[in-house]
Amino acid sequence: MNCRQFQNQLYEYVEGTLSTSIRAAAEQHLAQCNACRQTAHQEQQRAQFLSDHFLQKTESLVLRPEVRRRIIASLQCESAPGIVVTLWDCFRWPVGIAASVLLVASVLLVTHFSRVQTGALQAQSPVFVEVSYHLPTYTFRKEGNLILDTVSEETVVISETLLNTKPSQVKHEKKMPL
Amino acid sequence: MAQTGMDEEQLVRNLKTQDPGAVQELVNSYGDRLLRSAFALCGNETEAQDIVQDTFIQAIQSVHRFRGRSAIYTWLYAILVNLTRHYHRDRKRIIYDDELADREASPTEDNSNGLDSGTASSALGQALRQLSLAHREVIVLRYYENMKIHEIAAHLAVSKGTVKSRLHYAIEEMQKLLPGELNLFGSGGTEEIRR
Repeated sequence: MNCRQFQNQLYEYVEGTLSTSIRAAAEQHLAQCNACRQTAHQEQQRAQFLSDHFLQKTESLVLRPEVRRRIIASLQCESAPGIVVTLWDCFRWPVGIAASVLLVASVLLVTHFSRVQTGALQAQSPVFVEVSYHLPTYTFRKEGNLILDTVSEETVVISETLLNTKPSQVKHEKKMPL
Repeated sequence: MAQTGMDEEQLVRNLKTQDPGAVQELVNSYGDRLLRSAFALCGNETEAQDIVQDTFIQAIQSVHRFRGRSAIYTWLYAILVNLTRHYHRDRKRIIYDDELADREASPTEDNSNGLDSGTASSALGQALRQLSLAHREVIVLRYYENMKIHEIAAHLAVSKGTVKSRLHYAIEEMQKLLPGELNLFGSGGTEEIRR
Protein backbone atom coordinates (compact mmCIF):
# COMPACT_ATOMS: atom_id res chain seq x y z
CA MET A 1 0.00 0.00 0.00
CA ASN A 2 1.27 3.49 -0.84
CA CYS A 3 0.39 6.86 0.69
CA ARG A 4 -2.39 7.61 -1.80
CA GLN A 5 -4.05 4.25 -1.22
CA PHE A 6 -3.82 4.74 2.53
CA GLN A 7 -5.37 8.22 2.32
CA ASN A 8 -8.27 6.70 0.39
CA GLN A 9 -8.84 4.21 3.21
CA LEU A 10 -8.12 6.61 6.07
CA TYR A 11 -11.67 6.85 7.45
CA GLU A 12 -12.25 3.11 7.24
CA TYR A 13 -8.90 2.53 8.96
CA VAL A 14 -9.80 4.85 11.84
CA GLU A 15 -13.32 3.42 12.25
CA GLY A 16 -12.00 -0.15 12.00
CA THR A 17 -14.04 -1.38 9.05
CA LEU A 18 -11.20 -2.49 6.79
CA SER A 19 -10.92 -6.15 5.88
CA THR A 20 -8.18 -8.11 7.63
CA SER A 21 -5.87 -8.17 4.62
CA ILE A 22 -6.25 -4.45 3.81
CA ARG A 23 -5.83 -3.53 7.46
CA ALA A 24 -2.62 -5.56 7.58
CA ALA A 25 -1.36 -3.73 4.47
CA ALA A 26 -2.28 -0.39 6.06
CA GLU A 27 -0.46 -1.27 9.28
CA GLN A 28 2.56 -2.30 7.27
CA HIS A 29 2.51 1.03 5.43
CA LEU A 30 2.09 3.02 8.65
CA ALA A 31 5.10 1.30 10.15
CA GLN A 32 7.20 2.80 7.37
CA CYS A 33 5.45 6.15 6.73
CA ASN A 34 5.59 8.85 9.35
CA ALA A 35 3.35 11.28 7.38
CA CYS A 36 0.47 8.79 7.06
CA ARG A 37 0.87 7.78 10.70
CA GLN A 38 0.48 11.41 11.64
CA THR A 39 -2.56 11.82 9.36
CA ALA A 40 -4.26 8.84 10.99
CA HIS A 41 -3.49 10.20 14.43
CA GLN A 42 -4.88 13.62 13.49
CA GLU A 43 -8.12 12.09 12.24
CA GLN A 44 -8.54 10.19 15.51
CA GLN A 45 -7.93 13.38 17.49
CA ARG A 46 -10.26 15.39 15.27
CA ALA A 47 -13.03 12.83 15.69
CA GLN A 48 -12.63 12.87 19.46
CA PHE A 49 -12.47 16.65 19.64
CA LEU A 50 -15.51 17.32 17.45
CA SER A 51 -17.48 14.57 19.18
CA ASP A 52 -16.73 16.11 22.57
CA HIS A 53 -17.70 19.53 21.24
CA PHE A 54 -21.07 18.32 20.00
CA LEU A 55 -21.83 16.50 23.23
CA GLN A 56 -20.88 19.49 25.33
CA LYS A 57 -23.03 21.86 23.28
CA THR A 58 -26.12 19.69 23.23
CA GLU A 59 -26.17 17.66 26.44
CA SER A 60 -28.53 20.11 28.18
CA LEU A 61 -31.14 19.93 25.41
CA VAL A 62 -34.35 18.01 26.12
CA LEU A 63 -37.54 17.64 24.18
CA ARG A 64 -40.13 20.09 25.48
CA PRO A 65 -43.23 18.68 27.25
CA GLU A 66 -45.60 20.46 24.84
CA VAL A 67 -43.82 18.85 21.90
CA ARG A 68 -44.25 15.42 23.53
CA ARG A 69 -47.94 16.15 24.07
CA ARG A 70 -48.45 17.21 20.47
CA ILE A 71 -46.82 14.01 19.23
CA ILE A 72 -49.15 11.87 21.36
CA ALA A 73 -52.13 13.98 20.29
CA SER A 74 -51.32 13.32 16.65
CA LEU A 75 -52.32 9.68 17.26
CA GLN A 76 -56.01 10.59 17.50
CA CYS A 77 -55.96 11.87 13.94
CA GLU A 78 -54.33 8.67 12.78
CA SER A 79 -56.67 5.97 14.13
CA ALA A 80 -59.35 5.99 11.39
CA PRO A 81 -57.24 5.96 8.25
CA GLY A 82 -54.84 3.56 9.89
CA ILE A 83 -56.89 0.48 8.96
CA VAL A 84 -57.09 1.52 5.33
CA VAL A 85 -53.39 2.21 5.30
CA THR A 86 -52.72 -1.19 6.88
CA LEU A 87 -54.76 -3.05 4.29
CA TRP A 88 -53.25 -1.12 1.44
CA ASP A 89 -49.74 -1.66 2.82
CA CYS A 90 -50.40 -5.39 3.16
CA PHE A 91 -51.70 -5.82 -0.35
CA ARG A 92 -50.05 -3.11 -2.40
CA TRP A 93 -47.07 -5.26 -3.39
CA PRO A 94 -49.08 -8.34 -4.44
CA VAL A 95 -51.58 -6.11 -6.26
CA GLY A 96 -48.83 -4.18 -7.95
CA ILE A 97 -46.99 -7.32 -9.04
CA ALA A 98 -50.19 -8.99 -10.27
CA ALA A 99 -51.13 -5.89 -12.28
CA SER A 100 -47.66 -5.74 -13.81
CA VAL A 101 -47.73 -9.44 -14.74
CA LEU A 102 -51.18 -9.06 -16.33
CA LEU A 103 -50.06 -6.04 -18.31
CA VAL A 104 -46.94 -7.76 -19.60
CA ALA A 105 -48.88 -10.95 -20.42
CA SER A 106 -51.51 -8.96 -22.33
CA VAL A 107 -48.89 -7.16 -24.38
CA LEU A 108 -47.11 -10.44 -25.15
CA LEU A 109 -50.32 -12.21 -26.16
CA VAL A 110 -51.50 -9.38 -28.40
CA THR A 111 -48.09 -9.19 -30.05
CA HIS A 112 -47.93 -12.95 -30.51
CA PHE A 113 -51.36 -13.34 -32.07
CA SER A 114 -51.03 -10.37 -34.34
CA ARG A 115 -47.80 -11.87 -35.66
CA VAL A 116 -49.44 -15.28 -36.17
CA GLN A 117 -52.31 -13.71 -38.08
CA THR A 118 -50.02 -11.65 -40.26
CA GLY A 119 -47.84 -14.67 -40.87
CA ALA A 120 -50.81 -16.74 -41.90
CA LEU A 121 -51.92 -14.12 -44.35
CA GLN A 122 -48.46 -13.82 -45.73
CA ALA A 123 -48.20 -17.62 -46.03
CA GLN A 124 -51.29 -17.81 -48.28
CA SER A 125 -50.13 -17.98 -51.93
CA PRO A 126 -52.42 -16.69 -54.64
CA VAL A 127 -54.72 -19.35 -56.18
CA PHE A 128 -55.15 -19.40 -59.91
CA VAL A 129 -58.56 -20.68 -60.88
CA GLU A 130 -59.56 -21.47 -64.40
CA VAL A 131 -63.03 -22.63 -65.40
CA SER A 132 -64.01 -23.55 -68.91
CA TYR A 133 -67.30 -24.66 -70.42
CA HIS A 134 -68.64 -25.50 -73.85
CA LEU A 135 -71.50 -23.53 -75.26
CA PRO A 136 -73.22 -25.38 -78.10
CA THR A 137 -75.05 -23.49 -80.80
CA TYR A 138 -77.58 -25.20 -83.04
CA THR A 139 -78.24 -23.78 -86.47
CA PHE A 140 -81.10 -24.99 -88.68
CA ARG A 141 -81.43 -24.37 -92.45
CA LYS A 142 -83.82 -25.67 -95.13
CA GLU A 143 -82.50 -27.10 -98.36
CA GLY A 144 -85.44 -28.18 -100.51
CA ASN A 145 -87.43 -30.57 -98.46
CA LEU A 146 -84.68 -31.19 -96.00
CA ILE A 147 -83.94 -29.40 -92.84
CA LEU A 148 -80.32 -29.53 -91.97
CA ASP A 149 -78.89 -28.66 -88.63
CA THR A 150 -75.38 -27.96 -87.61
CA VAL A 151 -73.91 -27.77 -84.21
CA SER A 152 -71.12 -25.49 -83.39
CA GLU A 153 -69.47 -25.33 -80.05
CA GLU A 154 -67.96 -22.40 -78.36
CA THR A 155 -65.52 -22.90 -75.49
CA VAL A 156 -65.61 -20.22 -72.86
CA VAL A 157 -62.70 -20.03 -70.48
CA ILE A 158 -62.80 -17.95 -67.26
CA SER A 159 -59.55 -17.65 -65.35
CA GLU A 160 -59.11 -15.80 -62.08
CA THR A 161 -56.38 -15.30 -59.49
CA LEU A 162 -57.80 -15.39 -55.94
CA LEU A 163 -55.95 -13.40 -53.32
CA ASN A 164 -58.18 -13.32 -50.22
CA THR A 165 -59.56 -9.97 -51.21
CA LYS A 166 -60.94 -9.07 -54.54
CA PRO A 167 -59.93 -10.86 -57.71
CA SER A 168 -56.79 -9.39 -59.08
CA GLN A 169 -57.13 -10.84 -62.51
CA VAL A 170 -60.14 -12.04 -64.42
CA LYS A 171 -59.74 -13.29 -67.89
CA HIS A 172 -62.41 -14.42 -70.24
CA GLU A 173 -61.47 -16.21 -73.42
CA LYS A 174 -63.63 -17.40 -76.17
CA LYS A 175 -62.53 -20.05 -78.55
CA MET A 176 -63.71 -20.23 -82.02
CA PRO A 177 -66.37 -22.81 -82.90
CA LEU A 178 -65.06 -26.21 -83.73
CA MET B 1 -28.73 3.31 21.88
CA ALA B 2 -31.45 4.40 24.23
CA GLN B 3 -32.73 1.96 26.80
CA THR B 4 -36.23 0.74 26.09
CA GLY B 5 -38.66 -1.20 28.21
CA MET B 6 -39.64 -3.43 25.31
CA ASP B 7 -37.59 -4.77 22.47
CA GLU B 8 -37.67 -3.01 19.13
CA GLU B 9 -39.83 -5.60 17.38
CA GLN B 10 -42.46 -5.40 20.09
CA LEU B 11 -42.30 -1.62 20.03
CA VAL B 12 -42.86 -1.54 16.27
CA ARG B 13 -45.78 -4.01 16.57
CA ASN B 14 -47.38 -1.80 19.20
CA LEU B 15 -46.76 1.33 17.15
CA LYS B 16 -48.58 -0.28 14.25
CA THR B 17 -51.64 -0.65 16.45
CA GLN B 18 -51.46 3.07 17.30
CA ASP B 19 -50.75 2.27 20.94
CA PRO B 20 -50.20 5.56 22.85
CA GLY B 21 -47.92 3.76 25.30
CA ALA B 22 -45.66 2.69 22.46
CA VAL B 23 -45.53 6.22 21.09
CA GLN B 24 -44.68 7.49 24.55
CA GLU B 25 -41.89 4.96 24.79
CA LEU B 26 -40.60 5.87 21.34
CA VAL B 27 -40.45 9.56 22.27
CA ASN B 28 -38.84 8.83 25.64
CA SER B 29 -36.22 6.59 24.07
CA TYR B 30 -35.17 8.67 21.10
CA GLY B 31 -36.60 12.20 21.53
CA ASP B 32 -33.67 13.88 23.27
CA ARG B 33 -31.06 12.19 21.11
CA LEU B 34 -32.86 13.23 17.93
CA LEU B 35 -33.26 16.77 19.29
CA ARG B 36 -29.53 17.11 19.90
CA SER B 37 -28.71 15.89 16.44
CA ALA B 38 -31.34 18.19 14.91
CA PHE B 39 -29.83 21.08 16.84
CA ALA B 40 -26.37 20.20 15.53
CA LEU B 41 -27.80 20.19 12.00
CA CYS B 42 -29.85 23.38 12.13
CA GLY B 43 -28.30 25.41 14.98
CA ASN B 44 -31.63 26.61 16.34
CA GLU B 45 -33.34 24.94 19.28
CA THR B 46 -36.88 26.04 18.45
CA GLU B 47 -36.49 24.78 14.90
CA ALA B 48 -34.88 21.59 16.17
CA GLN B 49 -37.91 20.98 18.45
CA ASP B 50 -40.25 21.46 15.47
CA ILE B 51 -38.20 19.13 13.28
CA VAL B 52 -38.20 16.40 15.93
CA GLN B 53 -41.96 16.78 16.46
CA ASP B 54 -42.54 16.42 12.72
CA THR B 55 -40.13 13.48 12.62
CA PHE B 56 -42.18 11.55 15.18
CA ILE B 57 -45.50 12.46 13.58
CA GLN B 58 -44.25 11.35 10.18
CA ALA B 59 -42.86 8.16 11.72
CA ILE B 60 -46.21 7.36 13.35
CA GLN B 61 -47.99 7.96 10.06
CA SER B 62 -45.62 5.75 8.10
CA VAL B 63 -44.86 3.06 10.68
CA HIS B 64 -46.74 0.51 8.55
CA ARG B 65 -44.05 0.87 5.93
CA PHE B 66 -41.29 0.13 8.43
CA ARG B 67 -40.09 -3.42 7.72
CA GLY B 68 -37.55 -3.66 10.51
CA ARG B 69 -34.57 -3.91 8.17
CA SER B 70 -32.80 -1.22 10.18
CA ALA B 71 -32.79 -0.10 13.79
CA ILE B 72 -35.63 2.20 14.84
CA TYR B 73 -33.20 5.03 15.49
CA THR B 74 -31.71 4.69 11.99
CA TRP B 75 -35.20 4.89 10.52
CA LEU B 76 -36.12 7.93 12.64
CA TYR B 77 -32.82 9.59 11.82
CA ALA B 78 -33.39 9.17 8.10
CA ILE B 79 -36.73 10.99 8.47
CA LEU B 80 -35.05 13.70 10.53
CA VAL B 81 -32.32 14.35 7.96
CA ASN B 82 -34.92 14.49 5.21
CA LEU B 83 -37.06 16.97 7.13
CA THR B 84 -34.03 19.11 7.94
CA ARG B 85 -33.35 19.37 4.22
CA HIS B 86 -36.92 20.52 3.63
CA TYR B 87 -36.60 23.15 6.37
CA HIS B 88 -33.47 24.53 4.77
CA ARG B 89 -34.33 24.17 1.13
CA ASP B 90 -34.58 27.90 0.59
CA ARG B 91 -31.76 28.85 2.90
CA LYS B 92 -28.13 28.60 1.88
CA ARG B 93 -26.77 29.41 5.30
CA ILE B 94 -28.18 29.31 8.80
CA ILE B 95 -28.64 32.65 10.47
CA TYR B 96 -26.65 32.69 13.63
CA ASP B 97 -29.37 33.80 16.04
CA ASP B 98 -29.19 35.28 19.53
CA GLU B 99 -30.41 32.09 21.16
CA LEU B 100 -27.54 30.14 19.73
CA ALA B 101 -25.05 32.88 20.55
CA ASP B 102 -26.18 32.68 24.20
CA ARG B 103 -25.76 28.93 24.15
CA GLU B 104 -22.30 29.23 22.62
CA ALA B 105 -21.21 31.75 25.23
CA SER B 106 -20.72 29.11 27.90
CA PRO B 107 -18.45 29.70 30.92
CA THR B 108 -14.85 29.75 29.83
CA GLU B 109 -11.81 27.93 31.08
CA ASP B 110 -8.28 28.99 30.43
CA ASN B 111 -6.32 26.68 28.23
CA SER B 112 -2.60 26.12 28.19
CA ASN B 113 -2.23 27.89 24.84
CA GLY B 114 -4.40 30.86 25.84
CA LEU B 115 -7.50 29.78 23.83
CA ASP B 116 -10.28 29.04 26.32
CA SER B 117 -12.66 26.19 25.65
CA GLY B 118 -15.67 28.50 25.46
CA THR B 119 -14.15 30.55 22.67
CA ALA B 120 -13.00 27.42 20.87
CA SER B 121 -16.43 25.87 21.15
CA SER B 122 -18.15 29.03 20.01
CA ALA B 123 -15.83 29.32 17.01
CA LEU B 124 -16.48 25.70 16.08
CA GLY B 125 -20.24 26.20 16.36
CA GLN B 126 -20.13 29.27 14.14
CA ALA B 127 -17.89 27.58 11.59
CA LEU B 128 -20.20 24.57 11.44
CA ARG B 129 -23.22 26.72 10.81
CA GLN B 130 -21.56 28.53 7.96
CA LEU B 131 -21.03 25.29 6.08
CA SER B 132 -23.40 24.23 3.36
CA LEU B 133 -26.04 21.74 4.50
CA ALA B 134 -24.36 18.92 2.54
CA HIS B 135 -21.07 19.53 4.35
CA ARG B 136 -22.71 20.05 7.75
CA GLU B 137 -24.62 16.78 7.34
CA VAL B 138 -21.50 14.68 6.88
CA ILE B 139 -19.73 16.39 9.79
CA VAL B 140 -22.68 15.81 12.14
CA LEU B 141 -23.27 12.25 10.99
CA ARG B 142 -19.59 11.39 11.28
CA TYR B 143 -18.51 13.18 14.43
CA TYR B 144 -21.75 13.52 16.39
CA GLU B 145 -23.64 10.39 15.42
CA ASN B 146 -20.31 8.52 15.08
CA MET B 147 -21.56 6.81 11.94
CA LYS B 148 -19.26 4.81 9.75
CA ILE B 149 -18.62 5.87 6.16
CA HIS B 150 -20.91 3.22 4.66
CA GLU B 151 -23.69 4.15 7.09
CA ILE B 152 -23.46 7.83 6.13
CA ALA B 153 -23.49 6.85 2.46
CA ALA B 154 -26.67 4.82 3.02
CA HIS B 155 -28.32 7.63 4.97
CA LEU B 156 -27.60 10.28 2.37
CA ALA B 157 -28.05 7.95 -0.62
CA VAL B 158 -24.64 8.81 -2.04
CA SER B 159 -21.50 6.77 -2.67
CA LYS B 160 -18.81 6.19 -0.04
CA GLY B 161 -16.42 8.18 -2.22
CA THR B 162 -18.78 11.15 -2.18
CA VAL B 163 -19.02 10.96 1.63
CA LYS B 164 -15.23 10.97 1.98
CA SER B 165 -14.88 13.80 -0.50
CA ARG B 166 -17.53 15.88 1.31
CA LEU B 167 -15.85 15.19 4.66
CA HIS B 168 -12.51 16.28 3.31
CA TYR B 169 -13.84 19.54 1.88
CA ALA B 170 -16.06 20.20 4.91
CA ILE B 171 -13.10 19.95 7.29
CA GLU B 172 -11.00 22.06 4.97
CA GLU B 173 -13.74 24.71 4.82
CA MET B 174 -14.21 24.63 8.60
CA GLN B 175 -10.51 25.13 9.07
CA LYS B 176 -10.61 28.29 6.95
CA LEU B 177 -13.39 29.65 9.18
CA LEU B 178 -11.61 28.89 12.45
CA PRO B 179 -9.03 31.07 14.20
CA GLY B 180 -5.41 30.06 13.75
CA GLU B 181 -5.18 28.59 17.25
CA LEU B 182 -7.77 25.96 16.33
CA ASN B 183 -5.97 23.76 13.87
CA LEU B 184 -7.94 20.73 12.77
CA PHE B 185 -5.05 19.56 10.58
CA GLY B 186 -1.85 20.63 12.29
CA SER B 187 0.21 18.37 14.49
CA GLY B 188 -1.28 18.27 17.94
CA GLY B 189 -3.68 21.06 17.02
CA THR B 190 -6.68 19.51 18.63
CA GLU B 191 -4.70 18.29 21.61
CA GLU B 192 -4.18 21.86 22.68
CA ILE B 193 -7.83 22.80 22.92
CA ARG B 194 -9.07 20.18 25.31
CA ARG B 195 -11.41 21.46 27.96
